[in-house]
Amino acid sequence: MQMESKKKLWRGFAAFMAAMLVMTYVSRMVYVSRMPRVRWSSPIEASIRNQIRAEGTVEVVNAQAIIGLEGLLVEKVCVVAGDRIETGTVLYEVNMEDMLAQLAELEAQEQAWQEQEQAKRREAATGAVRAQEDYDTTVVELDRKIAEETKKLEELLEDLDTHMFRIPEEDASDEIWIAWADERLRFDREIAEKKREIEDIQLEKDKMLRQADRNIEDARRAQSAAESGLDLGAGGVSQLLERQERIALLTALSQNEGKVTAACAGDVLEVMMQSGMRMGASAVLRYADDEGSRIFRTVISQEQKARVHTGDTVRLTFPGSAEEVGETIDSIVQENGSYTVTVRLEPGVARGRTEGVMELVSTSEIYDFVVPVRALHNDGGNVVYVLEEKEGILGTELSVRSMTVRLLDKNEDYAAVADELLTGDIKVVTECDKELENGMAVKEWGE
Amino acid sequence: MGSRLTVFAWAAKAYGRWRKRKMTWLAVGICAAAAALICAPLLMIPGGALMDSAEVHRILAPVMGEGKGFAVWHLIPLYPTLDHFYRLLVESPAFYQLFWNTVGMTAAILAGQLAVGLPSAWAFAAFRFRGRHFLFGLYVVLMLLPFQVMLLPQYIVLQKLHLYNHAAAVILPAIFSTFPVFIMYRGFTQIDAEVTEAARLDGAGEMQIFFYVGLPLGKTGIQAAVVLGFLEYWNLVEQPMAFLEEQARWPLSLYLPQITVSQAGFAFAVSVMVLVPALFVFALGQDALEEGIAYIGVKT
Repeated sequence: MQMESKKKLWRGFAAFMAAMLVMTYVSRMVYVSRMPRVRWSSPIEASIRNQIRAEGTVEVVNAQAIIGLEGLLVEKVCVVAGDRIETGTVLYEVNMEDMLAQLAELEAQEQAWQEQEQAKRREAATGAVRAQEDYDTTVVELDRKIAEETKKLEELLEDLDTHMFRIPEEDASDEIWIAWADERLRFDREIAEKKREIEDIQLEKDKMLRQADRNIEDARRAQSAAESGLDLGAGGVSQLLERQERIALLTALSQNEGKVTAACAGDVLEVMMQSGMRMGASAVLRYADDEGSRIFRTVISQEQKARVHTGDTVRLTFPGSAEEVGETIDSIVQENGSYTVTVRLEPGVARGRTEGVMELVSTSEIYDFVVPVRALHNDGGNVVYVLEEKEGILGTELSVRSMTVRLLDKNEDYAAVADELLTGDIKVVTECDKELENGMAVKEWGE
Repeated sequence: MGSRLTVFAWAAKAYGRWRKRKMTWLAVGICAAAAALICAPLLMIPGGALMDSAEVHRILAPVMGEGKGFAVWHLIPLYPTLDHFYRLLVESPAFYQLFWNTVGMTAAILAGQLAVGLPSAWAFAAFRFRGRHFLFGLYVVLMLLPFQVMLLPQYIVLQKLHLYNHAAAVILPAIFSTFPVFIMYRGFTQIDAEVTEAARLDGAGEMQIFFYVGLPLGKTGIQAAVVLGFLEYWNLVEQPMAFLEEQARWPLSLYLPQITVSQAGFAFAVSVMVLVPALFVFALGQDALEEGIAYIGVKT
């Protein structure tokens, strides 16, 4: 072979080797530039401090209902659900014309009834007076009769005494004795008869007086009933009171120009009426009274449930408000795989709030191996990547090995893990700029 | 090694004869057909290296048991791509690690063989001493022993010397190989005895005769030994596989087995790059190789 050709071959060979040398560095640089960078730390012995935060809703217990004025026509609804109302806030207005017409009709009914009642009372009063007069007359008449008969009786007794002084001599004839004795017997009969008459008149008087008393009593009762309205019966009284009550209500409403106002401050929850509607006897508006009780309700996961217990004190805050309260958990109920936590709030707490945030801090026992939660990966289980040296074609390289661990506890920053192979000396990858895979070569993150 | 040597020898001789004797076109045709058959695997390598992975996989599916029929190779890829070369040359530092391991190992072995083998070959060629034939015969026997026979003794020795899993475990046994001594010995025997005798008469010492007469005149044999040695040790497989446990010490010849069948295109690209230095060395030492191989057949 020609020397020139050999020289070219040598040059070519040298160029090839030089290119291979350059590419050695290039490929190394490319390899290293694509290599994941990791930071690591060794597990520490520590406890896990958990701050549980859950957003929830504030619900009203026993919301107040405003019952509609039955039969009235709604002219205008002045609030909607969610509105804040204060004492005196106009809730709705009724149609004045319609209301005044109803009021006039009721007042006319009342007037007629009043007149009827007055007539009844007058009649009863007259009856009572007459009964009293009858009584008095009867008493006088019978007393007079008794006096007359008593006088006659006294005259008979005097005649008898006189007769007794006229007793015949012992030696008087039998006819005389018989006549005297007959006379004496006649007196005795007449006296006894008079006494009976007097007794009869007395009995008659008693009977007449009892009857007269009854009549008076009946008349007075009738008068009393007329005056008190007892003669209306239960239904009548109810109707009367209802009418009077409604008249008073409508009167007050008409004085307020048909505006229905809130009796106390709160939050409108629901409005069940609309303009033009004639109201029934049901509720037309529901609202949460400021002084009423509220409950805070939130849902927590099964994992969080392990750290939350009934009776725990939680801190509650309400978005948009600086209000912050500490309350205890009243109940935790399982529902569809999650748990509903209920906290009963003190009256007046969370006024006008519909949302809240619950926060609870709990500290666990001390765990042997606690790693940053960033080190924990979910790859079909809880996995940490352990940094170790590996012999390969390129020599000793840092590589990661996946280790499946049991997760004992964790919070937002740290996780407590356990595994037979875990020691305090291992290097657990805590941060990486690429997705890690088992056996992947990595390099340490430079400062 | 032996079979490859025979092919090379045959090809070199055939080519020489064709060039010198102007063989007939029929003979040329037969040779060309035979050469094409022999070189067919070689032609597949660059083609495969330029095919995309899907094409290589589709073609080799029957071979890999994933398809029916026969694998039909395309000399020209349907979808040529340099992806495999890019991946190999830019994204595979492991390839370079092993490449330079091979360069270092081969260079150390060849240098060692020259340092040890040259004096031995010169001694057998230039001096007549008692036991020379026996000793040379022993060299030949050692040369003929396959590696598998020497594996266990070499392993035990290397363990005792604490050289296992060290590059020296491959380099040292190779340095003391008797084959280059045999080749160089044949080269030295081509030097006329009158030339060395004249040097002695002129007052040259034995070392001077070795350096100023032996080495220049035996250059062809030395080059042949170096070229043959390079081709052998560049592709060394068994020794590193047996004695080197640490992958970082492996030569390039063990890189290919690491590549899975699914990466056949990448494997072809590796083959091309492995072949390049060998082609350079072969081209540079072709003349010496032809003459050196011819020495083997010369009876001394």
